[in-house]
Amino acid sequence: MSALLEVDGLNVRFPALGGLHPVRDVSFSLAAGETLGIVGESGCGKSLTALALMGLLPPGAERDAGRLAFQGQHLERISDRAMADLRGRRMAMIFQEPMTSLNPAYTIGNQLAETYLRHMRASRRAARERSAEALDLVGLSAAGERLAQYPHQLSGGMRQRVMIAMALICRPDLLIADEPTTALDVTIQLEILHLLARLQRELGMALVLITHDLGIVARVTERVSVMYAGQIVETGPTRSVFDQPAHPYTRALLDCIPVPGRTALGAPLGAIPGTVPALVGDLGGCHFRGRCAQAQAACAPAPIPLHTAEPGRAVRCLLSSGWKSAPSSTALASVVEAEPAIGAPVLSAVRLSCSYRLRAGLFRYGRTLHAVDGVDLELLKGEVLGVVGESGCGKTTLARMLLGILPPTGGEVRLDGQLLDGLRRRDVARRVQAVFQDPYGSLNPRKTIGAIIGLPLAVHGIGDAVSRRQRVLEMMERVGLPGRLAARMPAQLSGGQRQRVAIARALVMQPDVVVCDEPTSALDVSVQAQILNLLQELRRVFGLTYLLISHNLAVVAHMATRVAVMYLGRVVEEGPTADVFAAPRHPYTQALLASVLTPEPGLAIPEPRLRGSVPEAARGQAGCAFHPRCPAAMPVCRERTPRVVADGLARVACHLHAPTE
Amino acid sequence: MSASVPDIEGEPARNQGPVARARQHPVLLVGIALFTVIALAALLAPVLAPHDPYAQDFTQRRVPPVWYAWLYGSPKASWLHPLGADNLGRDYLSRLLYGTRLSLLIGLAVMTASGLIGSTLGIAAGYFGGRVDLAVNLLLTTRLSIPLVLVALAVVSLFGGSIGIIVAVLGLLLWDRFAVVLRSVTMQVSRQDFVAAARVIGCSTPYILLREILPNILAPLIVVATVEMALAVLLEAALSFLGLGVQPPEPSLGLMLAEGKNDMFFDAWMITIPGVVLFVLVLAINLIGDGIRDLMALDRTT
Repeated sequence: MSALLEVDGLNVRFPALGGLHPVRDVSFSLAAGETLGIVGESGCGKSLTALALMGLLPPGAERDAGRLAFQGQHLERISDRAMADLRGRRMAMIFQEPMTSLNPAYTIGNQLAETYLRHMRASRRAARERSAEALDLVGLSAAGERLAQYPHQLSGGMRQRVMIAMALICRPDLLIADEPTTALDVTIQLEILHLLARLQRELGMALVLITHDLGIVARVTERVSVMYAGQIVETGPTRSVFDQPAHPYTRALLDCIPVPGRTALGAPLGAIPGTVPALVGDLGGCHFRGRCAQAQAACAPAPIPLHTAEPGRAVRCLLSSGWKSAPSSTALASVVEAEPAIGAPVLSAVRLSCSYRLRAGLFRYGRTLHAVDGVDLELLKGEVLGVVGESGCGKTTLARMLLGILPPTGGEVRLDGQLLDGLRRRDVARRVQAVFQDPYGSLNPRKTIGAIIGLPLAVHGIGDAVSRRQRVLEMMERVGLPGRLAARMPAQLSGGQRQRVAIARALVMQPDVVVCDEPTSALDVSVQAQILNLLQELRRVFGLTYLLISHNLAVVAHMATRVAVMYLGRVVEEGPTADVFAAPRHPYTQALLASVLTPEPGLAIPEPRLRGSVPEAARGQAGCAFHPRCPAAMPVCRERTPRVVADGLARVACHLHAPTE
Repeated sequence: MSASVPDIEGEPARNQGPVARARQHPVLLVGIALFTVIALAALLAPVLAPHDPYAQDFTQRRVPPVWYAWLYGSPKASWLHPLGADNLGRDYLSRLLYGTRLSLLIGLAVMTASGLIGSTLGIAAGYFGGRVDLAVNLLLTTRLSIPLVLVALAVVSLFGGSIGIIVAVLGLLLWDRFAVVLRSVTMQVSRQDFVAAARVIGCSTPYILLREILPNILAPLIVVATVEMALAVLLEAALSFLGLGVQPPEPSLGLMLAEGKNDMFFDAWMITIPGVVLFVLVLAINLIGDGIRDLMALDRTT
């Protein structure tokens, strides 16, 4: 088997940035038609590895490699011109952000033909035909007419298809996909992964799939390389790496992710302590030793080579030979404290709506956009209510109305039976607090950590300066932040530390309810596990009630006692988590659950059940909002809006489950 | 573990204080040095001025500056009038000191007045949006459709050229840039989650505006303020040059230029000296603005 791509000892350095060395001694090879997954957390060097292969490194970067060969050609020796010719024709790449990777000023057809003409001697007419073929290949309907469309006329999923068509128009032998589905909703992600897998088979090209998502790697690739701090720490056939991870990092990473049905509800996840070290200078020895539970004295001094454990598998760990069966979870003592008892409703939404009037133009009627459309929801004391749905379903708008910082346009919010409108802002603040998604935006960059956490106390005039400071330090310790960070600014903290600050600020006044809006979606999986464990622990200690908003079903399944599924501003199904996840009733819930990719190699990518993406125009019209995408739509779904009815322990809004009249 | 073990927490070094960072910024230092010299000279004008700036001495008309004695052997030039005397025999150095004082005073007053108007409007429009934004935009477009110099000329010629009138007119005309810039940065900042977090905590709207938002928009505010101050100094000079600003016998940099222009082919120093002072003053203000903008930029390295 001759290798298509051979990489040996690849290094990327940024000499101007204080000796930043983000890719260190990376070696792998890829046979024609093979799929390789490169998996790792942000900042591990996986994207720079891909850019180094493509010769697309940013200015200031230096690449050196013992051997960098593509189809027998030495990439480090060929001219820029020859490299540019190779790129796009023989090797192609697709990027993460479909919204910005297409030029908004040109039509799709123009951009596709441009790529083709750049590499092939062909007439404009032939290029046009090939462009239509390529769009057909990626499953876009009416390919001929699509060529005249501009990027803004397409949805995110469709744009990513166009990007794939553009990459494949010259039929390359190697496709590098860098986080191709990270910016997309889960149901769309499924379609794109399906497409990539099908094209890879049909065209017989090699695929390098770069992602942070272990589920995607497990389902799509044959071989996997795990990267940590610039190095490949483990490589081998996907199945055997997932079944028997040999490197402590791989094992810890697998323990970090909640898997519906496998990890127990509310049990602590195997978090990796600390954060990735800064990739500056010589780190010496094993890069993971500072976070490794098995670290020994021998791990520190000498660089650890990547040694072959068995044919096709290599590990960069001293312990791998003798270390086979440590306990599966990284031994977090599971002292399960008493679950808080579920009580009366604390926060309730009654026919809650929020609609925006879209501005009418000179020749346009103003439309009304129903972000949240008549939601009835009760948050019971002591529970964790998960709200799931794809982007644009109104979950964040709902959270802001429940917090009382966005006035509803219809319906009401009640706190302990009292109208939220009638309560003073400050009284609500003592009971209900929030943790937001973006740990970079939710802290004032001009204030110290201590001032940020102490702000609620200062605003409410609780205690004097000394007692406040004491309380802030206690709270910081509680959420796992060293007290010396109190004088730091937010920019000096890592993402995980900032989210801990946000949690400390929310809890410092000892509220009853915490609304968590995507608390971990901006974080790496190992840090996500730390934060989820912290939220669980704090809930038991303080007897808190959570409203957890997330697009990540695995996170909701792990944390929530009850779950509500939203689609286009409405709750379509709601019930106990175990019940809903075991036997989803609504077709949308079914499709959503089917698109969860658990890290189980061998399982195929599930067949996408839904067509098209979330339509915006369907909002507020008669009938079930989901019927245009529903695989089980009936005539009645177009005419009448389904009512929410009880079905067993759950409630569902679907004509399939309507009681017969 | 050994000392070579990297800091796993990866905590970056503590931020340097603003003073320490200012020391490494030569542009800002030059700006501050120039401005300090000019401002001190203006402040201490009564002490520093060798003569009464209004006193005319017809025996000393058009005496050139002292260096004319060294360079050209001019018999009249002497240390009695280091920068010479104007066509009415008034000491040029004394007039320059008092004139700079007036220019600086007008610049600062106009900047403060227009800054208050513009930033209040801009912040309100950016934070509240909706109707407030529409109203501010209407005011702004109205203001932008008014030709600045023409209106200033008209008002000053109607009501006379007292310092108060000049400050009022320029203050009411120069707020547009404050409003435009602060509206857009306030909009950006108030969309961030920390503002939502402050509301959830129960902070009042004035608190949010002053304590959460203002510190984050201070950098553009200061930059606009310096640009506007430089512009106000120049506009005052222009109005005075046209005879509609500061009225004689009050000295101002613009008026000195105007009075010197008749003699500029014979006694070029008469316009060179106030011209250079005006140039250096405006330059210093702009350098300070640039420097402060750089200093207040947040480290977004992590």
